Amino acid sequence: MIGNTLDMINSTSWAISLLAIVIGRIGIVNTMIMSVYERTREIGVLKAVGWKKRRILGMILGESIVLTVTSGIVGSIIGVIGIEILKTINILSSQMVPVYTINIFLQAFGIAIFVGLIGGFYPAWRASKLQPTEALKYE
Amino acid sequence: MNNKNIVKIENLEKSYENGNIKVLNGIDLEIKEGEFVSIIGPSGSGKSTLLNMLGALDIVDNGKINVANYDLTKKKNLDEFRSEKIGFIFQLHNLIPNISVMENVEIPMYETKLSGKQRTNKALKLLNDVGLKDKTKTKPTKLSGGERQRVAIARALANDPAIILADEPTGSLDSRSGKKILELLNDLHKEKNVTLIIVTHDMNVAKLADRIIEVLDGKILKSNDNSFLNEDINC
Repeated sequence: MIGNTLDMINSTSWAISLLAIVIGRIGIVNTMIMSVYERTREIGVLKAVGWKKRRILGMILGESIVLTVTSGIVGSIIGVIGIEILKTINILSSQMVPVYTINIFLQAFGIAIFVGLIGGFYPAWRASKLQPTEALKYE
Repeated sequence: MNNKNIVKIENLEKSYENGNIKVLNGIDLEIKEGEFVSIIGPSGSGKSTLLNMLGALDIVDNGKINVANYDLTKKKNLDEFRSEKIGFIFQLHNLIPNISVMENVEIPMYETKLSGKQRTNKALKLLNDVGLKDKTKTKPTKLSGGERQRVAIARALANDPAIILADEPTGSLDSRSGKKILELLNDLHKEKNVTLIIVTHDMNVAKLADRIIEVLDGKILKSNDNSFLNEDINC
């Protein structure tokens, strides 16, 4: 019985995490597409001075990963602060003891990097494919 | 200048809008190594498109184009060609506004094997050459138009290009700044023996060149040394 309840809590927790990953990915794709859009002319300049496609791809993917890892750090800090507040105001039941393990944080950062990579890939690929003349004409 | 061709174009054609707008209509052109050439012509004549083709910024539809021993019709290694052989100077400078002048000059060098320190030293030397060594940490937005164009020239020289392509380099400057930029370009051309190709509307700019090429309706109308300046020019 207790085992079933724990399994259900675990499944719910993973479902919520998965939803957060999907929402995070959409957010990253949107942010990076906007970033590429606003910097179209800049990307045109980089192509004009001879930057290779893979360098532009790497630059945008790198920015995407920096963004998600920073979000991971901020999210982890907010998460810990939130739990500590819940503990202080006695909302958590006495049977629920929060445990912070290094694995939880490693998982969070692993997922953040993964979301950064998959979320940033499409905008980065689009940026690397831009024609220099078209990009330089962009106002 | 020597007798070896650095640019050889045969029957070059370029259209836009699925072939409806023909911009280049059979261009034949040869340019010698170390030559200073001006391309003139009215708006829409195809001179900027020709410059873009020379710098592999755009893809050729038909014809042959060989620049600095790169066959640009093959569409291969065009980024390598732009990095190693070409320096661009644009009318609106096209500097990246949120990084420093020094970083702007270093940008083309990221595709070379230079270390970070070597890149910085080279950028410093180039900024010194264009008279901006005291502005290395300044953002381009804090510079005057003439200073920005000097940074653009330093950036164009970063990888010691064989050819400098300048599209209306004085077009957005007042006459005094424009004159200084032209003097700088002319000095650099002579000092480094780099091939300099300038697109311009301004006959005062054009007449500085060894040769003036007049483009009209996507074709070369005249190609001559600058002694024909007294004749009618459709500019």
